[in-house]
Amino acid sequence: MFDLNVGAVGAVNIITSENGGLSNDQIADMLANKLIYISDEAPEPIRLQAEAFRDRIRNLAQYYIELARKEERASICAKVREAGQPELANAIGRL
Amino acid sequence: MAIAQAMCTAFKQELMLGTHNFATNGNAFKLALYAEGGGGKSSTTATLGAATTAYTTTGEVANSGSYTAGGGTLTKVAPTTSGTTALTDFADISFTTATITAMGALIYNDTNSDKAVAVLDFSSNKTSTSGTFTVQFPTADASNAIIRIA
Repeated sequence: MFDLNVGAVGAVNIITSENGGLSNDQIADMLANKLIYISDEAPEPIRLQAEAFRDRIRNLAQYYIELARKEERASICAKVREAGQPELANAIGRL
Repeated sequence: MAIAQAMCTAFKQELMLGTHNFATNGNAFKLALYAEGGGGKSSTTATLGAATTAYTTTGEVANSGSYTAGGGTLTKVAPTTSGTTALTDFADISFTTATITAMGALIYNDTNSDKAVAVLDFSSNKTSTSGTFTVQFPTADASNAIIRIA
């Protein structure tokens, strides 16, 4: 007889925002959580080391996400300015 | 509990009947959001759990931003194995410029009569206000993947 243990559904993580999109911090957290899973049952020294590594990855991700958004905004500003909308370009640049 | 996390019982049977195809070129699966306490459209409340057999509009959150009735289509990741566990995964899904309060979600097969796959319980109300509502799926491994057969 085969005893098939079906029925495992993973726990999802919900991330929400108000009056705009997700922040750099939220996206960095999402990336770190997806990339590095640390079991609650891991031995403490290993868990602490893994958490420290995850924090480093998270902070690195946060920096590059922020940079990517800034560069994207700069590209959009340039296009908007080229299209004759300098005030709108400035407003986007101040985001 | 009105929304209880579960792999739907009908889905387990339908797996044996070959109803669901999670291959990247297989069936289309969707995720719909639900509310409790009369928070669904027309003040409805969701009742979802292992006994759920198909997508329902009762208790589903109202249209807002990019969220429309029926929810969003999930991007599948091809099923794989890890050790003795088979698993499948989806890409995270976001609804933007949306004002939503949801307590749970239903994954269902949009290709095959909206048959239910799994109920997700968020444990508490999650709210976006004129913002983004993102469902991040867990790491796709033998211990955490969204749908696993061990």
